[in-house]
Amino acid sequence: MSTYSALIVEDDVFQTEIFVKAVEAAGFTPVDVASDGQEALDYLQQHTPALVVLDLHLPGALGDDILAYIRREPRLAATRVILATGNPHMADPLQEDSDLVLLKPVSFTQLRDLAMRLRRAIAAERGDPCPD
Amino acid sequence: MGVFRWVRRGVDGIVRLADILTRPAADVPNNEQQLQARLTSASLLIWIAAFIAEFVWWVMSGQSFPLTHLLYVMPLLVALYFLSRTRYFLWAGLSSVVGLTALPHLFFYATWSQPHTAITMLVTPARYIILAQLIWLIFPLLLAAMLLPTLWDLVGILFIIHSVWWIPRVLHVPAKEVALLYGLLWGIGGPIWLMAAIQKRHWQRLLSLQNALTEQRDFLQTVINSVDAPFYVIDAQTYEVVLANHRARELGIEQQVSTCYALTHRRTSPCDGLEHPCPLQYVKAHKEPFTVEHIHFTPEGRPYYVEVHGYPILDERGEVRFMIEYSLDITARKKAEEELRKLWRAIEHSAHGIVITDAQGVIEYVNPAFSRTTGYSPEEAIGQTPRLLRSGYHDDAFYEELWRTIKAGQVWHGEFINRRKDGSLYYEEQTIAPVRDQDGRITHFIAVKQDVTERKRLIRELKEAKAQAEQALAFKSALLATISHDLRTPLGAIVGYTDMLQQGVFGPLNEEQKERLDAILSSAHYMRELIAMLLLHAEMESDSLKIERKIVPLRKLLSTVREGLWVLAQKRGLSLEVHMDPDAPEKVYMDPRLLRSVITNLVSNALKFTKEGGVTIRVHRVDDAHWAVAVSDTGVGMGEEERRRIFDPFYTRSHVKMSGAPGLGLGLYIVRSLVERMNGRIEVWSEEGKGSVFTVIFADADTMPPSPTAEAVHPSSPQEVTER
Repeated sequence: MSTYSALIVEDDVFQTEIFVKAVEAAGFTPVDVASDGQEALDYLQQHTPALVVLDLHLPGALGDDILAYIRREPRLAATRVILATGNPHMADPLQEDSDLVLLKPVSFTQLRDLAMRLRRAIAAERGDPCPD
Repeated sequence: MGVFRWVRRGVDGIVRLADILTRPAADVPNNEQQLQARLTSASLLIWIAAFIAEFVWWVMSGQSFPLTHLLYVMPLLVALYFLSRTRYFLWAGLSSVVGLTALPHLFFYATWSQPHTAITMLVTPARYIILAQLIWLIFPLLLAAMLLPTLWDLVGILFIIHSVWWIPRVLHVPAKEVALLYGLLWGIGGPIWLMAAIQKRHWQRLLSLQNALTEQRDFLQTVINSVDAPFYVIDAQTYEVVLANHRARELGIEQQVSTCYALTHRRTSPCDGLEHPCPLQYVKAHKEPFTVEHIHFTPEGRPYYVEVHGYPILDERGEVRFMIEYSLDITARKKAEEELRKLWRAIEHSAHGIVITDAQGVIEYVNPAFSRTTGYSPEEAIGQTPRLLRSGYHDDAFYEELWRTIKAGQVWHGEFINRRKDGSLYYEEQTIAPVRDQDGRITHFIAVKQDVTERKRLIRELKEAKAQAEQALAFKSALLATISHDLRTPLGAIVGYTDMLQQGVFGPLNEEQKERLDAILSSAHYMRELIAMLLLHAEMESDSLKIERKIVPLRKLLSTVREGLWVLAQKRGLSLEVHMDPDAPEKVYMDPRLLRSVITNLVSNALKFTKEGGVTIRVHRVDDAHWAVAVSDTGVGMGEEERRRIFDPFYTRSHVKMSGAPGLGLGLYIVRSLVERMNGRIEVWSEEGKGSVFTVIFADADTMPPSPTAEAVHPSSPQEVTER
């Protein structure tokens, strides 16, 4: 069975923990964390996570730069992206480039359930047996 | 006396008859030729009379006369007579002389038939007649020879020579007798010839005098016609125009007699009491030339300005007999003067200060506005240079640049700080332009100045106010950004951890703990709504709410709404359903954010006031042109009073306590505002204890995409969808 690695890009530590726990609860592992845009870009140049949870409001690089990088990079074509944003204006234009857009505050249950749904989809794509 | 009068009358009658019978046609060119034509006609008339007399005498004496001869000759003579009255009279005269010379027996048949010698001719009546005929014949020929030069002289001489040779042979008389006869003829003809010669000279002199007069008259007429303005002479007594040039006639002299008042004032009586003094009356009274500006009238009655000059012509007693008048049309000049006056008034009354200097910069004119601004009167400013106003705030380079610009013929525009007469400073905006003459040389400069001190102050204040407003706006934006991010982030932690605790991620909880966590979660969700509403409200208040329309799949949008709220619904044990009617639109062209806010608000509001049962979102058609989203609940409902006030800002519902979260009272107010922004309307149905239905209605016309996309208007798959 292949790995379901995930990257959480979020600068708030509490939020980060909640996201990590939710994604882990959904069956993703290992789950890595980047606390600013530059760190996220550096990480993505070396790793190919199955899922990225991205906060659009980040210090360093803008969230949509990271999103653009993921969408531009062929290696990351299969990577699913969940966007979390506090700005409803930003949510709509980015809907097309991402798999899910969540308006903050994001609840643990909500993210967990959605991440789980994505993991099932990834598993189906990879031909893995259903994890649940 | 009576006899004399009768004789005179008779003579007059004959003369008048002769005048009528010999009057030449109108196309006979001049007086001399007319005279010759008359003589020729008269000769032919006498001849015809002689011919008839001979005929009568012959018939009376009982002798036979061949009638054919009469019919043959008479028409010929009559034709020649008529010819002689035309301009071909010379041919008539020539033909008659040649005919008579060649065939005398044809014309004087009776006389010719007598036996004759020269002597018997003198003693017998028949011969008297033929002699008389010859005299009458020769006389006009001689006369013609005298009056007509060369050709007729020649004809006459030839005739005499011929006669001397021819008559003795034809009449069978000795040449001596013929010569005697001619002597006799010349005895009678000579004095007549002399008289005719004197008469001819007299005529010629008269003719040349007449020609000279005509020439002079024509010359004078040409001279006055060449004056390109009405020029005429007025009789001082009768006001009649006695002489006029071409331009004066154009003014309307149609008859021979016209008066000055009819000509230039279109009046039927002499001018009196007009605003302009009548030049004729002045000239008559003062006996001196006079010039006056006048209004005259064209033949069509249109008035025009003229300058009238009147000059008296005095008679031998020194009284004014005539007046020469000519009038110049000065309408163009008057108009130019009027224009100039208008411009002058404009400059004088201009609110801008205007200064005109010569090419060296010496002030020649300042207008009142200049004096008002600077405090310098025209007397004080004229003769000075604009240095008068220098404040010392500009360096020499500033003025040098100004002079370089305007001396190069360009317009300079700029601002000065100048000093008034009282020493105070003021800002002045100036435009200085060169003024050129016809040759393009700069002769003057004109400066238009405006005191902009007040305007500068206002602009400064406005700039400050704008900067303050921008600062405030920036602060507001920053505040909004802070609210949208920084408030939501800690809320994320609250919601997330509470949720995790409830889910047992950190170990099992007892019932009391679970209930308190519910309260935390509920409060956090309420706070999230508050934040969203505050943001929307702020956007609407600051008019920065942008409507960005796009094609929205309704089904997906409603799912998102449900997704966000069903956790809350679940917690409260309520159902949350989405229902789309088969004929409901699948896709609409709207701002998804606003539409989602409206529906989310309505749904969360419904959940708040519902204890059991649930909330249903239903999309359905209202009529052919409208569709609606209805949010219905099975909650507490509202009374009449409450329902009326439900959309007022800061209105909170009485049942608010039961939901456990206090209302801000802005939710429905914002919802209605948003719906109105999207050109929709909202309706409420409610009954206490039964629940409420909030229906948002939109027109298809307002939610159709700009280009006709069929699937955006009509549902592509009319299947019923219910989500749980």
